[in-house]
Amino acid sequence: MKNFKMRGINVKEGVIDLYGERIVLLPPDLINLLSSVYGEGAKSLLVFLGKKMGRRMSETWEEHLKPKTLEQLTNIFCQFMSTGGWGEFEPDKVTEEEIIVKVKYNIAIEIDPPTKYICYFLNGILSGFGEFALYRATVEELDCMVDEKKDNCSFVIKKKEEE
Amino acid sequence: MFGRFGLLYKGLKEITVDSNKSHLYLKGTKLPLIILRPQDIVDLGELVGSGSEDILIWIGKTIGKALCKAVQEKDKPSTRQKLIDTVVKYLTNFGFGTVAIDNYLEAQEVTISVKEPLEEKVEGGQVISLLYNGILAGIFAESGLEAEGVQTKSVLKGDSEDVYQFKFEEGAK
Repeated sequence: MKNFKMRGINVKEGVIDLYGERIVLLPPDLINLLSSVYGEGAKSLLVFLGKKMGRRMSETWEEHLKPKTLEQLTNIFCQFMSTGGWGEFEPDKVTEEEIIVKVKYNIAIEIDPPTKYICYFLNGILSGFGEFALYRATVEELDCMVDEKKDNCSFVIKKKEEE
Repeated sequence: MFGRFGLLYKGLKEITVDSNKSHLYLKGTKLPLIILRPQDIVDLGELVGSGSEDILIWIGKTIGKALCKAVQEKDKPSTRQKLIDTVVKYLTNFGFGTVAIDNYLEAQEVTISVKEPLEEKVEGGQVISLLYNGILAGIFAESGLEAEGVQTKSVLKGDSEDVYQFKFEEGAK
């Protein structure tokens, strides 16, 4: 265990900024609780909300860190998600057509009992990132730690063909 | 591009990171934490819809209880006032704004102010105010005091800070 360190963070009494955006630390159970109230059908809304968040985050990091390649952008995304406490995000494959991100230790499994709600939200965040990185994209979760008891989750972001 | 967790930053002393798992915790506890932006919280509030004040307060209360329980086990404060004071300091350290006890009458009434709260400059910030109210109510509940809070000042109404007042049920111990 190390003390939490992250570049780009500014802290003053009660206010934490990450690259000029205010952030807060909260138990991930917040997402779980809100979703359980919504119940059936929460998946599509969680994906939609995650997508907004993923897009917004990608725009901010791109603006501040100015990555030159898709690989760099994907690395930044994975590093920030990991540093934000969501689990270990690792780019597994990065091409102009497809990005595969592996998530080890998905934070969803730290919640008692683990639920899929955080997976849906992560799917949305990756969709938002995917749309920013590949213009139009779809995301599919291949393996899942929560309901398939796999060692890691795997998300495939595929560029959508022009219609 | 840069080493994770590696570069200059020493501001968040109450957080530990498990760098093997990329998880954050309240230091000395198993309470996991994630980073969110105020706008993300407002957006997530869509899951309960408008007019669901009681639900948002209940959700905040559940989180407040979990936080207070973790702090109680970790720091073992000797009095209720110390416990509540410690927990609100953690809220400050987590980025909730400067959260402070303005008035404390044991088992009767407590007033808590929040300077620079999260809902400042966020559209739809009422969701966050309700969560604050719930989180504080949860902290009191875990310490043995049941009460509903009333927000008497709000940055959303032009006040310079948020103020929440809690009056406890008679016979509280």
